[in-house]
Amino acid sequence: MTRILSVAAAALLGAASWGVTTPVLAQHEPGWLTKHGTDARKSTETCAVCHKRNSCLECHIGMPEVANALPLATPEDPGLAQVQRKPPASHQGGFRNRHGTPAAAAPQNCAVCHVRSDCLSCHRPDGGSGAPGFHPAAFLSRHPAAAYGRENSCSECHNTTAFCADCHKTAGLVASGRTLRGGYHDAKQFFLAGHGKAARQSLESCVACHAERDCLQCHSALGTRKFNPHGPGFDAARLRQRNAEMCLACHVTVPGGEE
Amino acid sequence: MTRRRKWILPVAVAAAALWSVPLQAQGYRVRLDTRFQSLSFRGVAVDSVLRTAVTGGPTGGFLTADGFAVSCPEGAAYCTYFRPGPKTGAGPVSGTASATLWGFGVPGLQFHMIARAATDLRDAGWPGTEPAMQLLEGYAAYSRDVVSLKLGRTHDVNRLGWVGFDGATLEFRPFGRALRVFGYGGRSLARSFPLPVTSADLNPLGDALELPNRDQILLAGGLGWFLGPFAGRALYQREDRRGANATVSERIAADWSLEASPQVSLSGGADYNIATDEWGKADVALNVLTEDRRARFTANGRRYRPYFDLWSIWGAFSPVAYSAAGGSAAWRAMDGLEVRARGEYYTFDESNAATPLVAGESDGWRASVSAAVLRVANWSFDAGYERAIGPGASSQSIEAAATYRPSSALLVTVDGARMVRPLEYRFNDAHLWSYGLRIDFEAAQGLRLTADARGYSEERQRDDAANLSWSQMRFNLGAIIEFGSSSDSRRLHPAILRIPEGRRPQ
Repeated sequence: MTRILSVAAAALLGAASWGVTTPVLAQHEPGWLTKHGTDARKSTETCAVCHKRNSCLECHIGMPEVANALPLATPEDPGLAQVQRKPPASHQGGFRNRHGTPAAAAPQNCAVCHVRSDCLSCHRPDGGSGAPGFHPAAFLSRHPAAAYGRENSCSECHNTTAFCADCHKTAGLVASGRTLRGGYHDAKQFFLAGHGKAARQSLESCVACHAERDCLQCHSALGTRKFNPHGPGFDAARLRQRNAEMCLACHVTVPGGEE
Repeated sequence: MTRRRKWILPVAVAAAALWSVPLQAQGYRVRLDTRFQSLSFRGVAVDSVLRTAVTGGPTGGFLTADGFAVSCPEGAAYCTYFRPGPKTGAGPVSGTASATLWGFGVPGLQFHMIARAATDLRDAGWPGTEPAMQLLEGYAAYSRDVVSLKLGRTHDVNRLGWVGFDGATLEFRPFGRALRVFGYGGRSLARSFPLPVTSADLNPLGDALELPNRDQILLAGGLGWFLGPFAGRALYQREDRRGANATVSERIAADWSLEASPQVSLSGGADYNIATDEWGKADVALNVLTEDRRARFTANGRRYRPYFDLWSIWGAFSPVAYSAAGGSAAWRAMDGLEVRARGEYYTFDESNAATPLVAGESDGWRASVSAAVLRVANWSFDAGYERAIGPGASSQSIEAAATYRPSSALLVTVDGARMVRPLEYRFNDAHLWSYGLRIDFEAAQGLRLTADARGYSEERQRDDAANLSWSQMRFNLGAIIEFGSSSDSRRLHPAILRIPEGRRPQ
């Protein structure tokens, strides 16, 4: 499915195909693709027997100058080898789910074949606009499990209020009233009394439907119930020092601070 | 002038200044992406009933007279429940314009802009259609051998997430690829959204607590190294409220990769929240390719901790992290056939919030297997099975897709899936079919049309009347137009034409 979407995304960008199996000539041993640069830098005479500049440019779109050493193809001499862009072996099987760290560590490697617009096809500032991107088709219907379990870090690409809560609001799922709307979490009879564990595990899911005021009805020193939401090891002094304004959302004065 | 319209003047001035330069001296690439979606579905709506009007149900709970299970908080005069909501129809349409201009007589100077206009033709207030005009990016870039500079609205995507800002980015490369020293800063945009943090459009629930009342100032810096097989990047980033002694975030992050051999690589990274003295996310992965490069194996471990800015109260609620271990494999059994599998097990840290009244899961797993047949007489096939069992929600699905590409101009994809998606905290054992048809067609050079129809057919298995249906159809139409300074670009290789920025300066 992800491969199919990749093809669609690439097609939208007018890109060459993904996943095309290119016959490799006998003289190119397995793994040649990832180490041919060293040979090409020494001399391109051998390359030029079969290849024209287009062969290089099929992949090296981020650094087209590497192709300058080869002659241009002409109608009379188009070159013997036809190269089609394809991902290297390291990109097999779900590379999109694990590319983040190597891409951040060594963007120079990516730049051999990719340009910024390739990244923006998913990491775009208008994520969620409906265009194909990172998620497989019909992900809308399966996102609860992925979001609760944080299979990926949703908030790295989606704003939890403007993206998640806004859509949930349209579906009537948010707690937009002044009460907690008892009844939605009806699979657990005493969910309200025992929601702490679920909330601490999946707080990002909670805030996709709940606003701060929902929780502060009980979890605030300004309310009547005054249930302490802070877990073991909560460093009030550190947070007070860094941002005392946050403390004032629930406390009349900054705890431990000057009156 | 309202806050929302403040950006119009500087953008108009910048546009006028650019337009005043003779166009024939410029190179440019423009991409216009227009999309329309039509859909209707029925959501839910909260309702209440007098406590005296409910009756006992067969399983001990309470029901309304028409059979809806209700929740009756102790001491409350009313019970609440969810009814089917009104049928919601929406027709969001958006247009995104991307432009890159170069050739101003200064080598390495370019201008980039991405702007978006959106509205809902049915006035349903569809998410993402406010504000109607958005400047996603707009910056001038100057790049030479050792230095790159960007000025304007742009963003960076790194281990700390999507970071947008109105400001500047500067990068030095004193030793070519070996070392990069960079920094960026300016006025922060919201987390993963191209609006200032004070924008009311970031607060759909109307909670006054949830908006910072001041702009945030972003400052970040770091370095990247590329030392043969060992590459990495280290980053420091902080945000503060303007004019206040209040930190919004202060974090450091590092990523690294080691190419131990052509077949074996190791990568990892972590971030640390200085403001709260907590480790954030971390991961490490070992990738192994077989000698013939037909198979790849990955073993990985990672840790996930949710992150919240300090202007919200959520970080003070002590969210807990989970640790995960997993692996994946892909095998090209033969040319054109790839088989894939992956799995991961994760377990949350002790929450210290469990109660005897509510039992909940603390761990979970996810796994999938799939296979793809590539390019058999213009056809590609992909099918897979996926299962995720975890706290809050689970899913189990089987899916398949077929792609037909009779020419480079036409791509037709059909897909279907059957899934079960129960929720842990709500009676919602839903069975769902999804099916879709997508067509991409390059009608002419520079003009690509897309059409997409997707249906969801759901059966919810509840014993009461709240057996709501979320079934729906969604239709999408799109048109993408690309054009540029054709006098030079038509002679370039098609690969180069894919670079909207134009040729990257070296």
